[in-house]
Amino acid sequence: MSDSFNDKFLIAGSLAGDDQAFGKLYDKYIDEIYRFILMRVRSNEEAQDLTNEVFLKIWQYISTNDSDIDNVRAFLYRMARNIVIDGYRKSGKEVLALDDDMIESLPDESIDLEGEIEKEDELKSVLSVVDKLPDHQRELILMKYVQDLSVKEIAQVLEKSRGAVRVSLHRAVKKLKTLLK
Amino acid sequence: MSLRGSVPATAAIPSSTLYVFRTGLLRRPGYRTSRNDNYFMRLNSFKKSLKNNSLEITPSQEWKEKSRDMVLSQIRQTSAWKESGTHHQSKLGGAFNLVFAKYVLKPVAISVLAIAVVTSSVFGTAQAAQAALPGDSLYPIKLGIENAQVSLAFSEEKKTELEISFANTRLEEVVEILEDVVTKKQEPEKLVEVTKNGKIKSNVNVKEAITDFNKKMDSVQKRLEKIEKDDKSEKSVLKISNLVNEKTLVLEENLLQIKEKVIQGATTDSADSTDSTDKEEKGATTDSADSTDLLDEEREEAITNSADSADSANSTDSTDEEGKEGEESDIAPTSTEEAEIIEIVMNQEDEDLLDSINVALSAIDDTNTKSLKVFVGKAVKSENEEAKKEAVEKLQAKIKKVEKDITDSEEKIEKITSDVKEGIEDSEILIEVLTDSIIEEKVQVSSDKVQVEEGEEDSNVAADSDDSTNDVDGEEGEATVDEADSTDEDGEEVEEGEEKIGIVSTSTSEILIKDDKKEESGVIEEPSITEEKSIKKVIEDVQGKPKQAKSNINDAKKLLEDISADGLGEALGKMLQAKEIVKQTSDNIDVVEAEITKQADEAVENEEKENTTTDGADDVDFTDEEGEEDEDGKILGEEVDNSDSLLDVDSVSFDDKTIKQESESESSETAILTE
Repeated sequence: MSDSFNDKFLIAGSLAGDDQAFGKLYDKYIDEIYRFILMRVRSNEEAQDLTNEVFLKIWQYISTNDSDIDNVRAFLYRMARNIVIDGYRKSGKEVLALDDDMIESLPDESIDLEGEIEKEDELKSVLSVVDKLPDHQRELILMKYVQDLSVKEIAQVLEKSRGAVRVSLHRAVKKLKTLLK
Repeated sequence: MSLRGSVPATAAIPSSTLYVFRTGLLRRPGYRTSRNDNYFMRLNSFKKSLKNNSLEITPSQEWKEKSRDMVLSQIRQTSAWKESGTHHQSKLGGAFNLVFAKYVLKPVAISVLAIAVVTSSVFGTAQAAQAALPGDSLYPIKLGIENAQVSLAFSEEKKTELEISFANTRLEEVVEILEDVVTKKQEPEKLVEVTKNGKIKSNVNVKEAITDFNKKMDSVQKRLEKIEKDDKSEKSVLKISNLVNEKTLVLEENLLQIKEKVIQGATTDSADSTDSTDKEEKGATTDSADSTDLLDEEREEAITNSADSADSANSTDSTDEEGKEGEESDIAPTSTEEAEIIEIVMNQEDEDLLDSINVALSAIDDTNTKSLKVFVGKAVKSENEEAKKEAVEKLQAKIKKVEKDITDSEEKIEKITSDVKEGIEDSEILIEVLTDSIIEEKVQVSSDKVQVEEGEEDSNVAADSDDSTNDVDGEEGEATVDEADSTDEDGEEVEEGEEKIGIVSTSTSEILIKDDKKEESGVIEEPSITEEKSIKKVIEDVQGKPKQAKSNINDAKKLLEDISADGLGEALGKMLQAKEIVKQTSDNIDVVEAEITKQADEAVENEEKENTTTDGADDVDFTDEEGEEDEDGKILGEEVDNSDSLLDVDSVSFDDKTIKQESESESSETAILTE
């Protein structure tokens, strides 16, 4: 089944008063949106709040705007990104500082601690490399290789052309290569 | 503590992936890599590690559930939610609400909605109904809620969108049922549920979903007709038809996936139950089968294999001919026999299921075509250049599809021609029976009674004259009979008229031409006359159709090169004509195929009977040249005699009036557009 098409159906169902349809949309994207936000804010609690905000704002948007959402997934990411940026703007906190809170909260929240220490180390190591990238490149790398967004979707999230995204992604990968030398 | 800087650049964590890709441990021993290769490998390992490790980050289930409830409850508080779907009720109060409910909304929808609303608040039935599948007790409530939602939606656009959305839900339900069957098959203790009754039950449920799907498609078509007739704003009509056009394409894609699953399921079932010989035959047939004709191939296979399965119950030396005897045996079935009979029933079920899927695909195609007509019709009148451009794009996309259909039918024709030429099931005699078979063709013509009588006389003369070159001239109402055109040079006398099936080979273009004539001259159409044709002749006729369709398509393409209102309308007309030709051709091929299979079965059956009644006759070699003439003559004679009672003319005849009506409506719509 076409994902994008099904998402649109879920939105149509929600608008027609079917709360289960919105619930389905929530269930479908909650993990990846949470992950996306957590990778940016690095605080578990904050990520949870912002994730909820994303879904509430999505509802607000679809219920007040007539315009068709072309790609619901990309739209959710765009919303999440804007909310994270707004959050930092308000708090004056610098975007992305790798917080131990994020790593420490993982075992309690999602990972079975036993036998997972190595994985935790890996994650720390990997993220430490990613964090050396400039903000915009880090964002691209995370969207592409963690969130599995296509270039088209990334372009929609960032509101840029596909060509521009390709070029930036190429540069980000190049930079990553030099960091891995 | 920030991790930044806490991990040294050299990554002294032996277990980390970073260590692995930095030290190049992923390299195979002895593998010399260039500097770039190393970077590439490191980068890839890094990407993999980044992704795999990040995927571990998931919120807790507890938080997710809590948060979900919180988000949904907050959404329910918003004014937008209250206004959505049920806003009629919230805005209309007291007595007026009752009047509104009584006279405006459909009583059935209301009662179902009322039940759903009452029960949802108390027992959560409505919520449970959302997850109901066909066959569940709550399923009718689910359908009722959906209908109520459609009734309650304000705009036609929203109604259409909801209907398509619910149609897609039906497809999701079908997938769920089919997946359930597959899962059960994998669990031996549940296998019993998948046998005869279980499968029939699941197929009944699938068919129920498909029936509702068809209803939704039908409703969408009616809605399109309505908005086309109503004085709706141009923007609204374009938007709705565009929405239907795009979404039906996705629905089609989804349904084709389902069809593929069903075919796979059917072939797996058949393969499981057949012996190695069957498998070899199946492999050979599948290899030779062209991919576009997969469905029919597989269906035939399924039937053949099921017959084979039945044979093995009676005899170790299994042959196709014995299949029906085994199936119809009066002896109480043993467990093996029972299993095989179940297998046959299951294959029949798959076939039925595929039939209903094909009907649904046809419903989608009709809806898509309808939306295209509405869109193009509006775009033609519009001054909006964008709409015209979009109409051209949509037409081009549809033309591509029709072109593919033309190629498919060409392949089908090629296949059936080679089947007839090269022989079916290695029996020369069958080919002669088949190629000599007579098909009754009904041709609608504008003619008077005298012409009809003349035609009938001609047909008798032609039948005696063994003249295979007679052509049909349907427009003049002259009916001639193509004498059985045998591939055998000696030729045999065939009693034509004894074996007859109905077939309509009139193409849309012909129908359109007749319609035009009828309109011009005002002649009322006379009842159809009957014409008889051999299968070979029908195939010959059909062979010319793709070319005809292609010519229409080429015309349409040319017209689309220049975007003009007239051009668009005409291009649409040409495309529709080509589409109809392809459809008719495909239908005719199907009838011919069915007839060939049927006659082959009957011929084999008769042969069997003859062999059993005549001592020592079981060694007759049909390919023996010396004995061919006599044997053929005898067998053919018998075949024809028996077939008189065996063949049911009505069962295979097309409803030519329906086709005619469809074509009339198509042509009149085309004419309107062109105007």
